[in-house]
Amino acid sequence: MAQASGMLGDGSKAVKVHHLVKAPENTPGSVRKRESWDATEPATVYKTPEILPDGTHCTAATVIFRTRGCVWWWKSGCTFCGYFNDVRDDVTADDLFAQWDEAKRRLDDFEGCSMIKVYTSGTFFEDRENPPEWQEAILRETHERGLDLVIEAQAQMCTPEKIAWVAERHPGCTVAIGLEAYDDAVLRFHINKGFSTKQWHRSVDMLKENGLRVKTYLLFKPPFMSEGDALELTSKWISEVAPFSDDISVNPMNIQRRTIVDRLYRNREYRTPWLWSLVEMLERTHADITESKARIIVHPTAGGKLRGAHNCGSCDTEVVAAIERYSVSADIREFAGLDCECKGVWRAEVDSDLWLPAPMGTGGYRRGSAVDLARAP
Amino acid sequence: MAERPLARGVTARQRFARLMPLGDRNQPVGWTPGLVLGPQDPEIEPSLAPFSCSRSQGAVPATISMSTRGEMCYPFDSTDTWQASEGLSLPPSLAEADSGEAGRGSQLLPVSWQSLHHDQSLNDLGLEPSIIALVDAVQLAERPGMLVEALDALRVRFPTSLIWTPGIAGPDNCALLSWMGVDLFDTTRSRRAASLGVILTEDGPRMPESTLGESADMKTQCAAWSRAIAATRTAIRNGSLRELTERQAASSPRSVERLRRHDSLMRGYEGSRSGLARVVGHEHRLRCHTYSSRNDALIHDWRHRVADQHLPPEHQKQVLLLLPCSAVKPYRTSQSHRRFLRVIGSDAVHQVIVTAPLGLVPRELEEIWPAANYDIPVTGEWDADELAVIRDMATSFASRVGYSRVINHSGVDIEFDGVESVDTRQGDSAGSTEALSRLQEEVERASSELSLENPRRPVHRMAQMRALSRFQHGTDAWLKGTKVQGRPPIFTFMKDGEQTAQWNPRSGRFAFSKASLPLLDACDALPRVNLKPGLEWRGDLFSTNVESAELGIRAGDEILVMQEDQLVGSARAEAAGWEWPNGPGRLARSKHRL
Repeated sequence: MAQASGMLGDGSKAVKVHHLVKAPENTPGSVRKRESWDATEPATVYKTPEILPDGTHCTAATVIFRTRGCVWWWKSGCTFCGYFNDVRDDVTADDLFAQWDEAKRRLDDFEGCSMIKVYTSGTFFEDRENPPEWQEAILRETHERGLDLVIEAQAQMCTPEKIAWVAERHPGCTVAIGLEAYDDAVLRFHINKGFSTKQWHRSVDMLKENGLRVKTYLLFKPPFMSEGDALELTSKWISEVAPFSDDISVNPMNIQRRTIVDRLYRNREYRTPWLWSLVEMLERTHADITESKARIIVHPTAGGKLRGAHNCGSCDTEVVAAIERYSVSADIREFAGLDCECKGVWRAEVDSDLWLPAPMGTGGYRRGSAVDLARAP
Repeated sequence: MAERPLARGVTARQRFARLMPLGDRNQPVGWTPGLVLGPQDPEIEPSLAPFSCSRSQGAVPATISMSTRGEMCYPFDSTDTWQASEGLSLPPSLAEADSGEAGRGSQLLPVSWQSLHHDQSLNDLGLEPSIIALVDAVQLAERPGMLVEALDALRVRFPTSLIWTPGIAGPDNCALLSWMGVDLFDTTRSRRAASLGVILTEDGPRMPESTLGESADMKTQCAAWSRAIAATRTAIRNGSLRELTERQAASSPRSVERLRRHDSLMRGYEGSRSGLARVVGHEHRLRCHTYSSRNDALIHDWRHRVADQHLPPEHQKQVLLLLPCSAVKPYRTSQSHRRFLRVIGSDAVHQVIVTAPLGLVPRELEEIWPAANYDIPVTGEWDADELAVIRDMATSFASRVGYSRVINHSGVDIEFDGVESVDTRQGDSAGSTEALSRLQEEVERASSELSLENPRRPVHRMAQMRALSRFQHGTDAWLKGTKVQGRPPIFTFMKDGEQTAQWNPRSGRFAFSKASLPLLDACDALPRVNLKPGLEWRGDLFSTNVESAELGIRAGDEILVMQEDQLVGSARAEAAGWEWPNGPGRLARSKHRL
């Protein structure tokens, strides 16, 4: 139906952004990939060094399940989410039990692990996503084996009954909520998160009341946001959510195939964060984090690559390593002496982003000949 | 308190570029094209950087504050600060969606590709912000053609507003952006260049030259800006912005691409919409020194109008004589053409000059813009593109007019279907005795074989003037019953004992007398503009006294001034059609009042 439109509109009806967000899900490539999965095997399993709530270092097992995905994705979906690549809608309870067995087989029955992270590309304890009997089995088994458990949830899926039910089966486990941004306008527009900061606070209160630990995910540089704004806002949000969180995990945006961010990236409308921004963010928030006793974790996925947080190419390895070290040591001296010629370019971009009316940023490519990088766009 | 609008005028115009004084017109504080300064920019005088800008931190969407760096709003008693909400914009590739919120502001209006597509309030004709910021200019510049399309739409929809494209301008593309209608730039790219250790010059980025002790600091970058803006302003003043733009664009493939896309868009419009001028005066030169000058809408407009619309003088429709061009303009004053004219010795053949990049210039049009003003590098050889244009134009012109014979003294080999064609050059130079002798013989042979009418000089001149009037004004009806007097090159036109007009090749126009205005009105010879009813017409034409204007006005056009359906006088347009009736500054200079 023809609609009234702006100066350049052709009268066609505007679509909601989540139609565009979801469009990649149905590309032949995505469908082919989804249908190629074996539903009895987890998407991936691996072990990483971690820190237990009491501060002791340990090994953590991570199991990413292939599930039916996230209820919010069924309805709408977050702008950056690429989990649809890892889910299929015909996963059964038997499949999930088989995946759990397979994970244990691949990770030597979690030999040497004190912590286990169970990721389901959605809300672990949401019955429409995962069968309750499977949820219960995981909660009980990990508790009985003394494994420190981390599960994920959307804030709006946290109900008093369900949180109590989880706490009963695995007291003290950690529930990680992808808050992404502590700002309702950003949650609504940049992320299309599906819940508000108020709902997040409510769920945090519920978790605390039931003795569960709170891990808060923040997303560094969501789509439609400049580098400068990402640095300013995320630094502010870290300090604001720290008093309510036991752990804060800041995820610098990385470009996953067939996502909306991938589309923007290929259209040169979005660039992943600078590693320097992450360093600056950690330096700015270090005092607040220390005071709040929360722990901050930054693992730049695909760090140093163009699709992950990156710098000029010559300093990336060193800067990524320092950020990774800081996540474990919480020692701000990890960043002492870090420098590179590209730091000035990053600083110039951030400064420009902060005063220019250019909400999607002014940044360009970071690698290549300086003269070519300065050529007219 | 309501925000006060910026006081602005127009000192000079070329196409979409304007040199605009800001503030009290007797003592302007700032000028555009100019810079918007950020909080970390060095102090630059307001005449170069008339505005400063800042942005709120921590709030989403951000609030933008833009301040004048002098007293620029009536009654010029203080500086002014305008505020706007930046809005929440999706990138251009997601413009099908309407999420987020459009930018909002009164005198400062942020717009984006998305709001251009979905924000209906932009269609409100009452909306006249002083400044428009295209907030996704950086992203639009990455998408083929989008920046060109957005700027074209904004420029024409908001003729009074200053346009700012944050983040994409530099000394190396400010002339190009001005050419497309951008008024305000910033130092973002220069800061980036400084951080890369590169100097962003008017000719593009380059490394500092160590033997001269150069550095890439902001002082050096700002000096480049100052030179670039000075050159741009001067070029707008003297009408040479196209040449500057072409030179500048060569520094970046993206700029070349953008100029080509802009040219292509402009070629699709009628001349008044693309900002073309009809009359510029003989002193102005059109330097077509680069290949890309051939893409300009002005060149294509000429080619189209000559090849597809122009008709020769009535007595010259039988024989087409193609002649080579000369460096001296008008051609007839050159040595070579004086020689041609001597041997031709007849007014019965239609002389058409073969040239590049205009293609063909009929003799009767050689004194008008741009035929009288263009300049090209001459190597003595045509390139394939020039040859194709000349051949296409010549064959389509000849078949449309229906000549019986073509005498080709141009040296360009052209095949005319179904028309006898004689090559009088036969490999010789145009001015050689042999070639001139063949030219003379062929003209004489055609005159006798085809019994060509060789009218008396005044009749011939009048026929030439009628053809010229048809080309410039679309009609020659006003010349009916008119006599032409005077000695070349200045002619006076008399009707019923009263002077109606004068032709002077120095101005390249018919200068119409006050007495001729009712006749011109009756003949629909000139475009009309309507004054606001009940208003006493004083001074020139501005948006404040003009209510509406007919389409098709080109800069330099003589226009009829109407009020309540009555002819009240005439004026000369300074602004092209896209600025009428709401453009800033003087739109036309009053000429006659009845």
